[in-house]
Amino acid sequence: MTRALAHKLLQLLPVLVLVTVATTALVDLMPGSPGRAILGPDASPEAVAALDAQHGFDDPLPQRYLSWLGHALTGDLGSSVSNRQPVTDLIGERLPVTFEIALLALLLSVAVAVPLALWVAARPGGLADRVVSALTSATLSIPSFAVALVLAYLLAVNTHVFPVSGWVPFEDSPADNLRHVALPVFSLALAEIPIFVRILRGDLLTVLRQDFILTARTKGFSTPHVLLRHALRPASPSLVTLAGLAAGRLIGGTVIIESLFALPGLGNLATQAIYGKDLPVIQGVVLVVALSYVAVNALVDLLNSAIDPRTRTA
Amino acid sequence: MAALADTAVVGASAPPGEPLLRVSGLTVDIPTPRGPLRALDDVSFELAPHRTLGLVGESGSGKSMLVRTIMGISPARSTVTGSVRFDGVELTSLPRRAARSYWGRRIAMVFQDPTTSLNPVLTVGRQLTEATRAHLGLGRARATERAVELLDLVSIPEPRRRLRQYPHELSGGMRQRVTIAMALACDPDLLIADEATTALDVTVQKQILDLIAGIQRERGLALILVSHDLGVVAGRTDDIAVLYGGRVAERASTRVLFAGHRHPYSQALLAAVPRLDRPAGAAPRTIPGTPPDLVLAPPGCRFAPRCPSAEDDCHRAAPAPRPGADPTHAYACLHPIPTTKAERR
Repeated sequence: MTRALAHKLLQLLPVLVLVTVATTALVDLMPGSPGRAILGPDASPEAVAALDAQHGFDDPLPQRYLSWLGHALTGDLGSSVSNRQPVTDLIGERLPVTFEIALLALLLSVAVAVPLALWVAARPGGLADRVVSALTSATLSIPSFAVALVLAYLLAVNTHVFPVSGWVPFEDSPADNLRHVALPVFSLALAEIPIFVRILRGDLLTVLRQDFILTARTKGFSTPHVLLRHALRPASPSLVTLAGLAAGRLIGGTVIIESLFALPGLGNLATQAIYGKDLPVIQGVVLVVALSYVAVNALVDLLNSAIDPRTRTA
Repeated sequence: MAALADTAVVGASAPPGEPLLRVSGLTVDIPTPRGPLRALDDVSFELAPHRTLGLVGESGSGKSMLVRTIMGISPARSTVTGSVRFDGVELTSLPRRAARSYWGRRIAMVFQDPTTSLNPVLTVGRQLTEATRAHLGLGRARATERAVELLDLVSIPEPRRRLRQYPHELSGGMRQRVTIAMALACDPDLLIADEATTALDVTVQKQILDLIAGIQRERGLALILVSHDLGVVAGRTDDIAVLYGGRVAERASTRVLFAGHRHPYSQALLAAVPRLDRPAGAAPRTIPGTPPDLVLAPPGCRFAPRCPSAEDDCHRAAPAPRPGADPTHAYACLHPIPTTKAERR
């Protein structure tokens, strides 16, 4: 098992290299030089040259990459061009926010989707199935920022159940923290739930047609027992894979939701860095997102081999 | 063969005279886009404790549907009419919750293909212990001991190691032994083997059939052996019911059925069994035509379109069962095969 995991991680190493090389190469794709882009058209050529030299923007790509890699391996991702703060500090501040929201959104999605899928799969074509199917297609067609706006309007602006925006760290006040993450988490989960329900429902129906389900039923077990103990596990690999993809997406791509609710997360940091042409920060964020994807992927593989013994390599 | 044919019924908890299982007028309709499919049509038979019944017929004859309906797993939207009485209790109208104390506990079933009938993601141990834990209330340790006994009973070596294995780690024959052990877990009174050896190769087939026969003798089970192959049920059953198109074509004690069958379909089935004692070059005969379409089937005998002795009246109405010379014998045919050796004997 440990060897399989190590093997998997080794396979994912090229992905990380590729992604970071590509972000380092961004400098070469910029019109003019990064220094010019950062300082603006009015800056003196000397100032631009000084900034380029200071951050090594004018070095050739292999040298830039190796130098960045060397520092990155020692835990130094450089410092922000705009405010000179170390990139690791900037990311360290933002990461807990994004991780918390992503994790809660994912947990909520699974917690809602799994019972819902089990419920409708018990009677395919029944009333519950048809209602849920209609609801999921409706929800699927609404983008999460629209949901977020409606939720914010109804629950924050109008009724003040939840704060409109802002952030309170969990350590300061757990209750306030949860109140602040509630709306972003709902909006994000609402986009994932319909997909999860549909995938799991479909896989459950496939599994429920299998002979071993008949075996379980002839052993005299109730429908809930058959669904939970016999059908759910063999039906869940697609859901786990999908949830892994969603986790990666939630960590890297919650820019809109973070902006809407003014959350100091990774997405917000990335947006600011892109506007400010803050290359070291962009590169740091990309690295963290790529790392998360890789880690989640390895976790998905582990989970799936735990779920289905047939996929285990001896 | 059929040594027990006329011995008295022993040891049932049902009132005297009541068989362990009595199926009467069982009819199952399954809705299809073209109309209702009559999968079973007025099927009746009885099974006394400790006896073995063979259910024989081609694919689509309704034999699997019949045992699945007895097990309470007929297709979701099908309508079941008629009666299935087990030990004096009507199973078809029993509330689902109460019925569960029969299925798995007193009636158990072994399916055709052990590759698909075992849950691939659960260990053998889990699948062997869940019924005894749920139905008999055994604790984990006691249930595990019971599972080891069961694997021993079906002659699986190293039972303790097997409990930790998954189905895909076992051979086909081994898997079928596990499903048999599973079926026996709660000490049922009736075991149904639905083509239990069809998916296995011939040598393993015989081992499994012998195993089932041995267990039946030892434990005094009643047994229903479902097969498309008369050869499989020949030496192993007391009685045989031949099904065709969802109806019972003929039933009799095994001896009578082989020696004095009257239904042309039974005759055709017998001719299709490969035999070593036939002269060289005499190949088994196939039955011409295909099984009937059971959606909006025409009136009359289901076998008539393929029957060599069919006449006009065969197409008009379903023939009612007629008694044969032997008290166990009944056949549904208007133009039966003339009396043969059985009655000339």
